[in-house]
Amino acid sequence: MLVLVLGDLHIPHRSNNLPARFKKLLVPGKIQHILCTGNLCTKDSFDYLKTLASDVHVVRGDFDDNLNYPEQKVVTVGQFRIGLCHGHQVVPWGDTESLSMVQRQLDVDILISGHTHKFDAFEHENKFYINPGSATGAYNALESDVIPSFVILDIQQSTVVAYVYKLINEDVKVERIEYKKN
Amino acid sequence: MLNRLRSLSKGKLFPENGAVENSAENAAKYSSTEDILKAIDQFGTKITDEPDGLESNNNLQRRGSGESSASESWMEVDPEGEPTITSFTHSYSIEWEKLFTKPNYMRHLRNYAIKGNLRSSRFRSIAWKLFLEVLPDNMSQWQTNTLNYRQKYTDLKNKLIVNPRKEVDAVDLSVNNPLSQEEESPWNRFFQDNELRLTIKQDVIRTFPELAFFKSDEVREMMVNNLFLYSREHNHISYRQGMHELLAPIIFILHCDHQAFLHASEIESLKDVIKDVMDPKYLEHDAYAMFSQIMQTMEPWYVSKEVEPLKSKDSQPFAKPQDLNPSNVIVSKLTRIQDYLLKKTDLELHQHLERLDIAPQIYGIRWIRLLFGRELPMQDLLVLWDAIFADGIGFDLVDYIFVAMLLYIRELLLFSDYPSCMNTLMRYPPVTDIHYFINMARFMRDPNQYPRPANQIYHSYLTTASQSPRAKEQKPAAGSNTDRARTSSMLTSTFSSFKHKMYSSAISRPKTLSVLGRQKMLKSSSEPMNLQTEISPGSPSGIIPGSVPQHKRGSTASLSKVEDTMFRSVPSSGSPITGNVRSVVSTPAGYSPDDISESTSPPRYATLPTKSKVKARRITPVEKEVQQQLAVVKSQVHDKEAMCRYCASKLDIHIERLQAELLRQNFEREDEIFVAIAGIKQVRDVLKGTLKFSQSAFDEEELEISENYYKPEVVTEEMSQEAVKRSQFVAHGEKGTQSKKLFYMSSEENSENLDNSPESPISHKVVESKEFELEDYRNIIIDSPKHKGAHQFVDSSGSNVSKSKFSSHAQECLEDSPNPLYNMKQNIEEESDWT
Repeated sequence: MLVLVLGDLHIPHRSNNLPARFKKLLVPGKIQHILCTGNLCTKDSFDYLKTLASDVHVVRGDFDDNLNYPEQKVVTVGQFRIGLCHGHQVVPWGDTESLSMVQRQLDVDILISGHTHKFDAFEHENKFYINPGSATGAYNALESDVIPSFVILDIQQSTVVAYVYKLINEDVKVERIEYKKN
Repeated sequence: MLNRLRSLSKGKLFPENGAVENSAENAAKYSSTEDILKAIDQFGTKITDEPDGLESNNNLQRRGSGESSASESWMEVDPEGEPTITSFTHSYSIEWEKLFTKPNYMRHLRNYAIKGNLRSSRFRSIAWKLFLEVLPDNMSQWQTNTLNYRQKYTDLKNKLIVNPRKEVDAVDLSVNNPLSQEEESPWNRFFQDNELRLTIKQDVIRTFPELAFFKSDEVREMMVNNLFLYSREHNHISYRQGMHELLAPIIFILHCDHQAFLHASEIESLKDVIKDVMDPKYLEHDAYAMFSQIMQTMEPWYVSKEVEPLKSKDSQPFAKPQDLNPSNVIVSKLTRIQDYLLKKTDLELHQHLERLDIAPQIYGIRWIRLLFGRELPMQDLLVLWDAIFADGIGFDLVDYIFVAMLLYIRELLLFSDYPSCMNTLMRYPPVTDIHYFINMARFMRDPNQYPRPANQIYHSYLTTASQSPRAKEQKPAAGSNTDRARTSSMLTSTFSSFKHKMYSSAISRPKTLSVLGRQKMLKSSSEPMNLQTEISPGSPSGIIPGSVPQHKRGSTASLSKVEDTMFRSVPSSGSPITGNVRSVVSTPAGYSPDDISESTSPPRYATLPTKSKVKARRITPVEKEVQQQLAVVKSQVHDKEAMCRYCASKLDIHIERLQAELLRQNFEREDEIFVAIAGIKQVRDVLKGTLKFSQSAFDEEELEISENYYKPEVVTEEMSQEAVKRSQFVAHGEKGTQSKKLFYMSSEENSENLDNSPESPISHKVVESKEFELEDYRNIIIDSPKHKGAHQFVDSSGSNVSKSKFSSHAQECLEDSPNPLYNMKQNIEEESDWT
C-alpha cells in the first residue's frame, strides 16, 4: 500500500506550485492515502491532493487557512499506527526527544512531522520518525535554500519502506529506507 | 435391446432399404431412449414426407458418396456391436479405452465429436486437448507433454506476475521506485498489470452470469490469471473483450471432467496416464494451454488494426466502407462470409441484409470472436465447439456455422425491418437442435460429401404462442410508405420469397398498415408451406455448390405452381405495389378462369394431412380454428377473383358482338354509344387487371360516363371513420348475395371483410388502420379532395356483374406504370440482373 507523505507547500505565499518534475511523478491511481503535515496553505492545494487520492489527511500548520484541521492526527494503515503533527508546536523544532514525547503521547509506531523544511527519517527507540521536508522547497524561518522533497511509504505487513524523492539540480533523486516493526 | 428397437423401427419404416444406416445426421443414435425415439420420429417424417422415388434416389446417392471415401464409410456405417456411447458404459476406464486406445482413434474421435456424441462424455476435455493439439496423438507422450506445458505455465506465471517488492536490489532505485514511470520499472509494470487485471476482472465477473460455477472466487481468480498471462505474453493484442467468454467454457469442461475423474477414482483404480492428465490441481495450467491454442487461431480475429482508408480518389462511388478498408481481418472475414458464402447459399437473404444495410460486423464480430458463445446456451455451445474443434485447428467450420445460423433465422430476418432485424441478430432466438448448425455447415462446405440436413427454421409463433393474437394486432400499425414499398418490392422480386413470405411473415411484422388481415392470412398460409419446409432430412445431396439449396426444399411442381399463381394473380390486383403484396399473399393456390371449379378446393391441400400430423402437436386449437376459417375465406376469395376474370372475358365477348352490330347500323347519336362502349371496355380492362385501377381515372372520366349511362350510385361522402365503417358494413350486408357481387379491392382487404363480422372488435381495428391509409391518400391527392375515399357502385348491365365496389389505394398507384404485370416483370429483370 502506498502512502504519500508531504507538507509545507506554502502555496501561494512562498512558492507558486509544486515542482514540475514532482507533478509528473504524482499521478492518480497509484497512491491510496495521503498524509499531509500542513501549511498547504490554501484550499487549492488540498483540492490538488484530493485528485491524487481520495483519502487525504491533513493536520494544521501555522499558516493554514483552514482552521478546522486538527493539531494532531493518528491514522492506522495496515498494522501501523501513524501519528501526524505539523511540528511548529514541538520545541525545539525537529528535536528528537521532543518528538519522541509526542510519539509516546499519541502511542504511534511512526510519527510524521514537518515544519523544518528539511527531510529527515530515523529510527529512535524502535519507533520511526519521518520529516518529509517541503514539497515545494519553500523557504523557512531560518533557511532560504531548501531542497524540495516528499516521501512515499510502501506499507506491507510489518515492514515500511520509505522512498524519499528529492529534487536536486532539477533531477529527482530517490532514496530508500526500510523500517521493520518488532 | 437397442438394436432390437432399431431393427424394429427399420423393419417398420424402411422395408426395402436401410436408410437408417445412412442418415449420418442422426448423431445421437444410441445415446438414450429419448434420442432413439426422436430418431424414429425423424424417420417417420422422412418417409412420409418424401416421395418414394426421391427417397430411393437419395439413398443411392448417399451410398455412392459413402463408398467413395474411406472416412465417410466409417461415419456412415456404425459397427453394430460397438457400444459407442458413454452413458451406457458405466466404467470410467472402459470409456477411456473406447475413446483413446483404438488404432487410429483420432479420426474416430473427430467424427464422434462432430456428431455431438461428446455431450455426455467424461473425457471431453481430453478430446479438446487432442483437437487443439495440446496433447499429441501418441498417447505415450501425453504424460511428458502434460508435464511440459504445466511447467511452462508455472514459469510464465513466475515471470510475468511481477512483485516489485521482491526485486529490491535488482534494479537501480531511480527506476525501481513506486512513482517511476520508466518502462522497465517493476513498479510501473506492477501498476499497469493492476490496471489490466482490473479490466479483465470486470469482464470475468460478468462471465456467464446464469451459471453459478463462474461466481466462485477461485474460478474468477483462475480466469483472471489465465487471461492476464495470455495478454502479457501476447502484448500485441493484449486483452480484448470476449476472450473471457472463450476461456470460460474451457474451464467449465475441465472442471466437469475433473469432478467425474474424482468420482471415478473413488470407485475404480485408474491408470497413471489418466491420473496425470486429469489432475484437478492443474486446472489453471490446462486451461491456459488450451486457451492459448484456441487463441492462436482466433488471434487474427481479435486484432483490429486501424489502417487509414484508401484515398477517396481511388475509391469507387457508393462502395461500402468495408470494401474500402479491408485491412481488418475480422471485417474481411465477415465480409467474405456475407458476400460470398451467404450470397452463394441464400441470395435472397443476402440481398435483404444488403438492402437494409446491415453490415455483418455489426452482429458478426461478436458471433465469431466468442465462437457463438453469447448466442447459444452452454450445453449447446459445448456441442458446437466439439464440432468446431474436431473439424480442425483452423476452425474453418465457423464460417459455415455462421451462415447456417443466419439461415436458421432467415424467415425472421426476411420479413423484418431494420430494427427488428437487428434485434433478432443481436439476440439470437432459442435453438431447438444444435446439430442442425453443424450438419448444415458441413453440408455447405462440402455439399457432395455430406447430406443436407432437414431444414429447420425458427418458428417464433411456437414461442410466442402464449401471447394472444390480439396483442400482436395491437402493435403499432403505422408504417411508413418506404417501409411498405421496400417490403413489397422485395416480395415481388423473387418467387421463393413469395413462398417464404406466406410461410413466415405470420411470425411478426407489425409494420404494415392492415396488420390484422395480414396476420390472419398468413397464419393460414403457413399451413401449406410447412409442407415444404418440413420435408426430408436427407433430400438430394448432389446439389451443386452454386445452386440455391432453398429451392430444393419443396417439390418442383408446387414451386412452379407458385410461380404460376404469381403471374396470374398479379394482373388482378388493383395497385401495383401494395396490391401485389396482398393478392400474392392471399392466393397461394393457383387457379385460372379455366379451372374455377378446382380452385374451390385448392389441390395443394390434398397433401396436407400427412404434414399436419407432424405439425399437429405444435399447433394450438385456436390456431387450427383460425386456419380452418381462413381456408374457407381463401377459397371464397379465389372464387371472387375467378369470377372477376370470368366477367371480364364475358364482357369481352359481348362488347365484340355489340360493336360488330353497332357498326352495321346507323344511329342518330352514334358517338355517345361508342363512348359508352369505350367506358364498358375500360371497366372490362379494370376487371381483367390489364388496366390499372386508379382513383384519378375514376374521378374524372369514368365517373362521367357511368353517370350518363349506367346510373351509378356515386357515394361521395366526407371521409370519416363512420363512412369507412359504414361502407364496410355495407360490404358485409351485400356479401350474402354471394355470386352476384364482386368486390374489386385488394384481395387482402377483401378477406378482412369476409372474415370479420361487423360486430367484432377486430373490424374496428381494421377501420382504424384503413384510416391511416386514407390519411396517406388524402395527402397525395390534393386536386380532388372531395372524392377521396368514395365508394362507387357501378351497374354494368352487359355482364353478370351487377355491382362492383371500388376502393383504392391511390398513394402508390399514382406514379407507377398502369400495368402491374409490367411492373412485376421489371422487378424480375432487376432480380436477374443481380444474379
